[in-house]
Amino acid sequence: MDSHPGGFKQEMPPKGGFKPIDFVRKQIKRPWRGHLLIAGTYLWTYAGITLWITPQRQRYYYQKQEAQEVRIAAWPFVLAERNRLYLKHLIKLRDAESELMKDVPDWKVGHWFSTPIFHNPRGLWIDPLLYGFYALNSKKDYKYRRFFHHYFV
Amino acid sequence: NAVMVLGNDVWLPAASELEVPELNITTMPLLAAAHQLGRFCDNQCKEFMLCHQETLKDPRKCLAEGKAVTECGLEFFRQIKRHCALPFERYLNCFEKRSTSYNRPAYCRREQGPFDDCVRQHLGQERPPPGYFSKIRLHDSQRPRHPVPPAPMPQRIEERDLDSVTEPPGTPDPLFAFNSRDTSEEGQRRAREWLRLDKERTTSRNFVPPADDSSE
Repeated sequence: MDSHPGGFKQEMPPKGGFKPIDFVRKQIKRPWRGHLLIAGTYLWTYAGITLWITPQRQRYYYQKQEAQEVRIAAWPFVLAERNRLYLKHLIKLRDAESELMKDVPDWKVGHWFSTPIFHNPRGLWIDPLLYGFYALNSKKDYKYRRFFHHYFV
Repeated sequence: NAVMVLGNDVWLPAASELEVPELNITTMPLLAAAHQLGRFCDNQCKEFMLCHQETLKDPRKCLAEGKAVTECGLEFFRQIKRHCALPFERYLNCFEKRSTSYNRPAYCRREQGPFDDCVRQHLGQERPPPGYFSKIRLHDSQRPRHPVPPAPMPQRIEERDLDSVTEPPGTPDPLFAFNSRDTSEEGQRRAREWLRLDKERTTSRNFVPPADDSSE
């Protein structure tokens, strides 16, 4: 062609010269989403703990406390009645023992031949042992009470 | 081996004193109405438990307070029956039917509302706040304190020279009482005799050791 001598276009640098070569090592551009995901996980966990599970557990705790309070409130009534029944049975036991051992010489009721069972200088109340308390019941009744904790808590 | 501890010198109340009008209800109504009942009979319950604690769980000393507690409970249920029978019955049904689940009052709120309103209207008392019975409650009682039985110092035992103590004559040596492997008739007889004497010695009160010249 007439404008290009020799018939080809010579490749020349651009106008103003080449730009300076950037030889500094650069990091690859990574997307920043991962940090957001991790932060989001932490935030969601914190929100769940403070807003959901903590009040849920507190509610359950208060419900359990309420169920226990029901028994605490009813206990005096049960105890009063139980004490009266207990004393009635003790009277029956003592009368039965007097009746049974009235012909035995040197036998004092509640003692072993004039020896007291317990040393009680203060005069405190001592409950009789289970075996004596069930003296008028069958052995089956005694065993049921003696090993109650094997079947019931 | 039956051990009875109560002798005739221990005071027990008369049987007539223990005959009182009892609160003839089963567990379920008692537990269902427990919160309101506890508030209605708060003073009596506190007096009774204070007495129970002060007398070291002596059942004979708190009979009057116990009777007051039962009387108050009866009065409460009388008033409920008179005014609040239906709401209480509905609440009680819910309570009984939900007996398998652990936290019972929490599952019966719908029935608890009308019952509480009725109690507030007729008995004039609010349901106690949650945690009321769990906390320690102080009670100012007007009666004097139950006396604590005195604890006297035990008597001093004299010092004795125990090396000079000797056993009475005729006491057999427990280690070499008899030879159980001696199958001869004399040995077996001796063993049986020793066992008989030992049983007598340990069980009978008026045992007199046999006067034998040769100690075994």
